[in-house]
Amino acid sequence: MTENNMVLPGEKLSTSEELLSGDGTFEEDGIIKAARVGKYVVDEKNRRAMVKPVTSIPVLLKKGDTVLAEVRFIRSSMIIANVIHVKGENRRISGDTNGTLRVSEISQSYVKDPASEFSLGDIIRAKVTQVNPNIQLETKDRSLGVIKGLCTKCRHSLIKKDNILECENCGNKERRRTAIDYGNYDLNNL
Amino acid sequence: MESDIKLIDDNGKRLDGRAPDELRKIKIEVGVLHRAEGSCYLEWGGNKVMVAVYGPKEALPRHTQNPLRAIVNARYNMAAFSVDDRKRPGPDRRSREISKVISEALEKVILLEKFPRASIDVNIEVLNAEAGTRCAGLTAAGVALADAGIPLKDIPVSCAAGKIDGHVVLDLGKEEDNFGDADLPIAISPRTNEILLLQMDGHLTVEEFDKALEMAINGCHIASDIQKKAIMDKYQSAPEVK
Repeated sequence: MTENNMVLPGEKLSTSEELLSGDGTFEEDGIIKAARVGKYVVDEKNRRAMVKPVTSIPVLLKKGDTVLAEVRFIRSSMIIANVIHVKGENRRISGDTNGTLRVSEISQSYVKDPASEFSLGDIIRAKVTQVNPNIQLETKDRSLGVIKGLCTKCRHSLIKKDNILECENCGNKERRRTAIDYGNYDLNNL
Repeated sequence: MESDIKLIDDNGKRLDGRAPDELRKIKIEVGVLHRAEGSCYLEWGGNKVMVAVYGPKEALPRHTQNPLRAIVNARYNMAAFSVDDRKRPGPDRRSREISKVISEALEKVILLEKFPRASIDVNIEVLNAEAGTRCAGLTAAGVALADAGIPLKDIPVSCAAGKIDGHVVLDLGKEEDNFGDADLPIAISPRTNEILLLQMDGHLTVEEFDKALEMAINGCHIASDIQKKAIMDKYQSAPEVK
């Protein structure tokens, strides 16, 4: 198979003596074959055969991804959040979505109790710091943190006023570790 | 079974004018559903099938998860209006069996180890039925999986052979299926000729079986070329993703 050609799943690309099997390929009996529809390219630096996809491909979380997550549990030393979206992707996440955010990773400053920074049902923006064996998140940057919070008394949306969040329904005032763009985020670039 | 109607004439032509080793007309469209991760619409003679692929996603309920690999949930469903007499909607014994054998056939070609604990849903909707819907469904499912970018070892393809009036023929039509002697649907992985699915309805001698199998494999290869052309036509000029 020559380089830069369109290939289909199962097509022979190269041999394991010549190249390593990279993204979008698999190895069977010493032969490297394409695993998806795309363009065959060789990464000369690493001598790796790859197939650049032309279709959408399943989304797998990677270290460094910016994600949106929903707070599900709050413990004394961490919160557990369900990752619901990866920035820049328009496909759902394949595989595990339960992320943990440790107290020490919440903010640059000292946080005594995660419950003072987050509340159940909050939508947070976080960065993935680890995927294996489990997903670890981090919200230290100013752009990270709560992007939508709900009133703990009546579950209505909280609106940012100066440095405090106020419930639009009951006027309850709450504190969160908010992202810098709380309340005016760009829906096309979450 | 003796039938009153003659299924094959003296010139060796069949009821719809086909030669014994001729397939019905196949038309494939890729990526027809926007909310699905991969999709395919296929017409095979009078069969009209729509397939949507969702996933890989976390398998629910959680006890169905396999920590080592993904599971494949194919769901074959016939629309109430797909046959002449209204079909009672919902899963029945026949559609559950077909869903199971198609799931098992697809498991053989998907690289499942890449998605532990996940499930891949393949919904096969038969909009119009005219003999050989499981073959049409599986052939369309193969295309839809490739469209969803799910890592595959090969694009699976399916085709049937059978026996009518004592002759072994390819791809039975509606009357041939109803009044014929045997039906042998198979699915293969076309690059290796590995058999993914094989069922038989009726009786065949060993010689007839061997002939029918060879004929069906040839039919699969013809259908496979149409599958590949459909995918290429859709993506040849498409820009790369990322």
